[in-house]
Amino acid sequence: MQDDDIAKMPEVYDPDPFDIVPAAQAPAAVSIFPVQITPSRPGGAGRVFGANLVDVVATENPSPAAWKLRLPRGIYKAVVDGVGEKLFEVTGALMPDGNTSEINVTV
Amino acid sequence: MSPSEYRLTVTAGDELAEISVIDGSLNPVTKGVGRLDQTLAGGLYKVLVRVGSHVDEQLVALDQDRDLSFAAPNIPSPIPLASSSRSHEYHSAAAVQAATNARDTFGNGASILIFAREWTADSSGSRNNPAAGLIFLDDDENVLASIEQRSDFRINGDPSAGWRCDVAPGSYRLRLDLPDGTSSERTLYAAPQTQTQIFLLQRDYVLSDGTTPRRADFSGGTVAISTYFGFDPHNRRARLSELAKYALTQTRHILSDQLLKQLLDEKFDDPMLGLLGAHLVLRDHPQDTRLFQIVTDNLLRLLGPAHPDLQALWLRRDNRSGINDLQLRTPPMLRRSWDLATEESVRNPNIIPPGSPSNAVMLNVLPAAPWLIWRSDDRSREATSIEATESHLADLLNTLAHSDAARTAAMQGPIQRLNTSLRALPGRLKSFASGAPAPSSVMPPPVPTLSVDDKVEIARVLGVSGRVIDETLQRLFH
Repeated sequence: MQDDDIAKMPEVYDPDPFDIVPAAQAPAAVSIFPVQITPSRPGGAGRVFGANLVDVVATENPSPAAWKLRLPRGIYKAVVDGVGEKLFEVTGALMPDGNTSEINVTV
Repeated sequence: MSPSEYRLTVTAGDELAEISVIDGSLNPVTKGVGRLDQTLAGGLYKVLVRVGSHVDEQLVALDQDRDLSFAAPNIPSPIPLASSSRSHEYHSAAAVQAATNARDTFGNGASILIFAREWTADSSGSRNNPAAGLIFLDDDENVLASIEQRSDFRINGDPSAGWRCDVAPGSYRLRLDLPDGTSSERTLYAAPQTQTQIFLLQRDYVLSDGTTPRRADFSGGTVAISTYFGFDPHNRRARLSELAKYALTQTRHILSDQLLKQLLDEKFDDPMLGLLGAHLVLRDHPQDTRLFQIVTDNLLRLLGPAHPDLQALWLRRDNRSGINDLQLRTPPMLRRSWDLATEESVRNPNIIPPGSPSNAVMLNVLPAAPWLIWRSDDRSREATSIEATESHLADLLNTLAHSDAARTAAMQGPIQRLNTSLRALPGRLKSFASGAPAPSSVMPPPVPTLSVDDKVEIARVLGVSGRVIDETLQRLFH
């Protein structure tokens, strides 16, 4: 209570009940986001490494031509054996309508 | 260093670049300015390098020692810096010469440089004089020179117009006249033994008659203060000044403490950096009163006690000794300084004295940052200004009344909800502002009770003094 930045009582907003303001539907909380990994040519096994470069958070063998997966916010490394590797970031950004946009990663 | 740790070295290419590193879970882990050398746990990272509004980023897998380099970004500055993305070498050369050779003399002890220029990437800009419509005046509004007529106008490539005059220390004005008769002004304060420099690019103005003349970008024109009466296009301080001005136009804390320290260390060579730095200290580190006092003490030695921007800053000191006269008779150069003065005027109306040049411009201040700009044509001098202020004040009070009514209703219960005089206030205020018939009501609206904080907020938003707020309230409610 000593902190001036913390309100001493709840801030209550009481709108006029005759002012009808249509509220936008709040999007459901999204914690994972769609990602598509596209190898530039057919290759072997595909793996996605997490932030510590040790944990494998997703794997496919062989890696599909359009590998779709969902990941939490963070930085990842995609590796497709025989093709290459690519770092990518899942920012967690939402579209203006509240939907997620797919992150496309070409390896 | 353990086996799973590696060295990350980042070279920004710009010694003023702010470097930030975030880990694979998007948490910040380390920062630096110019260069960073850090041992970190192996893993994935993102390196961000920011110079002003320009941000570069790169992802890095730290599975071995890594050395990253970022190219220096060009800063789009009105100052013809060698490192600016909007400069030509011939502009830099013209500015160097213009700063050295006085073309007019109105006094001595200080100097003013006005340098306007067109810029296009391929030097294909308009051939018109970029100083068209620029007028130099003294603090009493006497015209001293037409810059268009008196400047060194060069049209080898994109045109430039440079003009230096020597003056007695004091406050001067620069005015831009547009073809439709409208004009705006800003202060150029010439501190003793310094050269105050203003650099302006060009922009298109859309006028009421549909024409779009190209003239000096008045609100974007940037000011520097040279203690050696010259211009150096390679001067890193000018670059630092651009970053500080950018930081001051933002409402959030974006300049790192390290960079702010650099900025304050440089102020002896460019007092403008000191003024900008003092404002940033005040905004971003308001608890650090000792640092603020040191910075403003140093500025007093550099600029003297009559500088309006320093006077405004002085109002925020705990210890106000050192400047005896804290009345802001002349408008400051920075909008943030003006805000300090108008906020203080709520508690002390004499800060902006009636009849002073500052008081005269108050009702015509334009919404611009970081510089203080105001309308100065005859139309703006007419009574419309006070009407506009009344209208703006009425709108603000309307918003306050709505918010207060909602809060009061929530706290007092349903009876008071319908029975509060504040409910009638918005309609009454609107009728006052628009001249429309007032809504039927038996009781006239009471003068709303505004706290000091409310008035300070209104002073900041409208750029008017406490006296004007009080007088306007009286006019609206009596």
